Amino acid sequence: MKYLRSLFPVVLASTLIAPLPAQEKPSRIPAGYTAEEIETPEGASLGVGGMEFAPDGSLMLCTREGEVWKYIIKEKQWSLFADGLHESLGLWIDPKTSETFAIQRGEITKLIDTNGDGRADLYESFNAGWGVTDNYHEYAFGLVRDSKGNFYGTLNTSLSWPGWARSKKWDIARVWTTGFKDTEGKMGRAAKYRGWCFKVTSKGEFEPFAAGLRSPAGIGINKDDELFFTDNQGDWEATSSLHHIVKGRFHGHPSSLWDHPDYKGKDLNAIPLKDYEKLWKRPAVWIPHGELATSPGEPIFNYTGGKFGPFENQMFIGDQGRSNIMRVSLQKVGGDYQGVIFDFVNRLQTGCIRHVFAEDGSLWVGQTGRGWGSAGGKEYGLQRVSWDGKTTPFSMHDVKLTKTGFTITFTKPVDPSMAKEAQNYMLERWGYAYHPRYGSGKTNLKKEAPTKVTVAKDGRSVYLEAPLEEERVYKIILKAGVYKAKDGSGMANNTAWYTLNQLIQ
Amino acid sequence: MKKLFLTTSIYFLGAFSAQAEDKNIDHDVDIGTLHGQLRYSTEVFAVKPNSRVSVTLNNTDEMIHNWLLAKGGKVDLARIAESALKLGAEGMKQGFIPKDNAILASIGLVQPGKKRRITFTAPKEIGDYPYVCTFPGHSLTMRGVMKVSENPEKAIAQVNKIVAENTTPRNGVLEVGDAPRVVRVHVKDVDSGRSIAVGLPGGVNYLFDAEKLMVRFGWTGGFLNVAPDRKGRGGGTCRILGDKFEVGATEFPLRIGNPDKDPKVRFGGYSRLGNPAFLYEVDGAKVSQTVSGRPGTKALTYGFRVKNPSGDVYFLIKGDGFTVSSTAGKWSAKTSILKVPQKEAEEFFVSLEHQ
Repeated sequence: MKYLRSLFPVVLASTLIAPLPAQEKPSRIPAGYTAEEIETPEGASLGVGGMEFAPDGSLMLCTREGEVWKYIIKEKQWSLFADGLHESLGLWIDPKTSETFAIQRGEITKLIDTNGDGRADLYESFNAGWGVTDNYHEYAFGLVRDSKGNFYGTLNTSLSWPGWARSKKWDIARVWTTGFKDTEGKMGRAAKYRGWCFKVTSKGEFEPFAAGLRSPAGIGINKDDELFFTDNQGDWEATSSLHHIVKGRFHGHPSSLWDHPDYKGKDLNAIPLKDYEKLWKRPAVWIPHGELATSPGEPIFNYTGGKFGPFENQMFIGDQGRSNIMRVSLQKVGGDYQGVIFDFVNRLQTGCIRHVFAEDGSLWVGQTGRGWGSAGGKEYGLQRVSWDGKTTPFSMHDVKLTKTGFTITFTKPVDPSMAKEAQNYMLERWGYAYHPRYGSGKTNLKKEAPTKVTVAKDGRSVYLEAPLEEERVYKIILKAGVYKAKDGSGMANNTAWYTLNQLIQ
Repeated sequence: MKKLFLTTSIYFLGAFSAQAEDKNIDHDVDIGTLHGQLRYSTEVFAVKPNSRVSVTLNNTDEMIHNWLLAKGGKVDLARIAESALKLGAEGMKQGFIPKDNAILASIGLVQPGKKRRITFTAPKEIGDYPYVCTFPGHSLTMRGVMKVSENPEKAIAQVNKIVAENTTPRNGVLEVGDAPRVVRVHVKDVDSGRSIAVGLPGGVNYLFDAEKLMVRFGWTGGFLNVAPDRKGRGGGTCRILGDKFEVGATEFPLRIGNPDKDPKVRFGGYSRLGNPAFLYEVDGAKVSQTVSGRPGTKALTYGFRVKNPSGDVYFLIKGDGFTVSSTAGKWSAKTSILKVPQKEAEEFFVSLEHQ
């Protein structure tokens, strides 16, 4: 990129900019929803790393540039609350006391304004239980807190392979296992607990919680204190993914096991791939690379009481690469989560990484487009997605696995004569390889129409019978341009991706 | 840095305000004090030889200060400060202004929020004349220089060269305005993932390592280029701007009770009220550490406050090429250890000056 730019400075710039003029509006957004751009403080780079609403209704956000800003929405007024943090990628504010915690590379910091002038003046180190070096990839993401007052965050692995930055410095602690080249498994461990999800108690005690994370850019928590994180495609990660974190789980990337008590002093490269695969907890939802996302951010649950439209209790995830917001509905099968993911709003102004629901039910989207090439192209930004409170978009509401196929529910009745035709559906299914290589293509790809289609009497659901296989992603495509509601409305997103880890017994 | 520009403007404005008040005054200089930093707000000003100079000490700080102008160098200042200290209880009456032939002019104690003015004739000889606050504990950091020059404007401009030119971040260059800057970034060639770069007004900077809990080095001049952290993916190692100097530390420097026992330490964060104060615990005792320095010198002064230490406090230092002085305790050059008695450890200053 850099090389090309220097060769064709003018030509390339114009051809790159030309095809992307329509950035004001998302290219795909369900009926009844709008996306609004929020003006950010002048002169400040606002690469959003974390967002929360304070009890007084103002929005607080922390940035990759290490600042914490306060935004009084009614007055559209920005003020700087704190600065000089080390790439702050998460924020948590006590909904009662306003106590403010930010996570930065080296620690969780409590930011206190002791003299009441609106600026933090005491930067209290709350916990620094993990290791950090000057390896650029050692991000610390957060920050969520459960009902008992425990914090959780995720720690990125270190980027380390021979020759990186023409230095031997980072040729350390990687896992590629027997049968693979030592240039595989590029992410590793340069310091303690890289690749872990951690817990910090309300008293500030650090506890390693779950291992096997690679580039876990977002962590979220639901009403029942259940934790989820997203990971990015890369070595040991076939494609981007959403995982349900449970204490002690291994989520797939092995270099974190250097800090696991059961693996102390062991040669992780002597452990065969199949043993890691046995240990590995598959993601609850695969997020197919390129089709849906390239680098997902924070998962957030919609508990707005219907203020954000018909998708109450579902999860929303933004993506930094494609600048879209996705929607997830989970299903518990065999005691574990798996589920469906849809695209929701596509092509916002730049990479979506942090999300928070406002009191009025609108979804605030914190954005950064710096470094990995985000659709939309803005360097940073803030957008708000709102529902008009009346329009029901025609959309798949959910997809649930049954013993013999899938049941799709809709936000409003489908046109039954159209919906009963099997030719209006396409099912694709595939698997992914688990290996130290960077990403995986689709394996065992099959395409077929459903063997049987049944439309419910009320038109609110459709049952598709299909051959079922475990450890597959099922892509369900409703025929574009043809699939319509009974009232004639078309749909913005006609595709669902269901991750089938386990069959219903 | 802004302070130095202020000095320049004082020089220009001086002619006008002097005319209004006193026709004989050539230079009217206002010297403030920085909140909690043990520093004057004006640390350098320039006058013409044999000119009439008026200095106002405007004490905006919460501590008592004085102002004393001398001829000579560091040795003379140290001697004067020591005689001031020896005045003991008598010092409060005499404003901590001792008798010494090197003293050219002085302003006695000025209470917080008050100001006092003095008028004198500048020396005929071109050169640098240091000034200092001799209130006990202040003389290590609270200093400045009066430059006597045929071209005061040029003399000030030359001083300004050591500091950056504006306060707006440009091309990744972070600069320091009239308030200290505290920025956590990776800094090139520092083997710590928890570095905190601090820039003080006037072009004195240092790096505090929140992992080893100590100052790693200082630098004078410009502050920091953060482009490696703010461009593209970021996370790169940032560059210090200006001249780096060592302060001789290789390990955490404080011990309580026994200089040979490894201490148990915990980083507690930092306060940004006034001069940044780093907070940590050493064997259960709460410590607050400030750092200050003066523009144009390769020296840092640590202000330690140790709350209820269980024994005497030891300050260990390793390395050569700098002078150590302190407001309390006894320095042993042989062991490179400063021993501060338990009851004096509540507040003491240690100054490390590069030779």
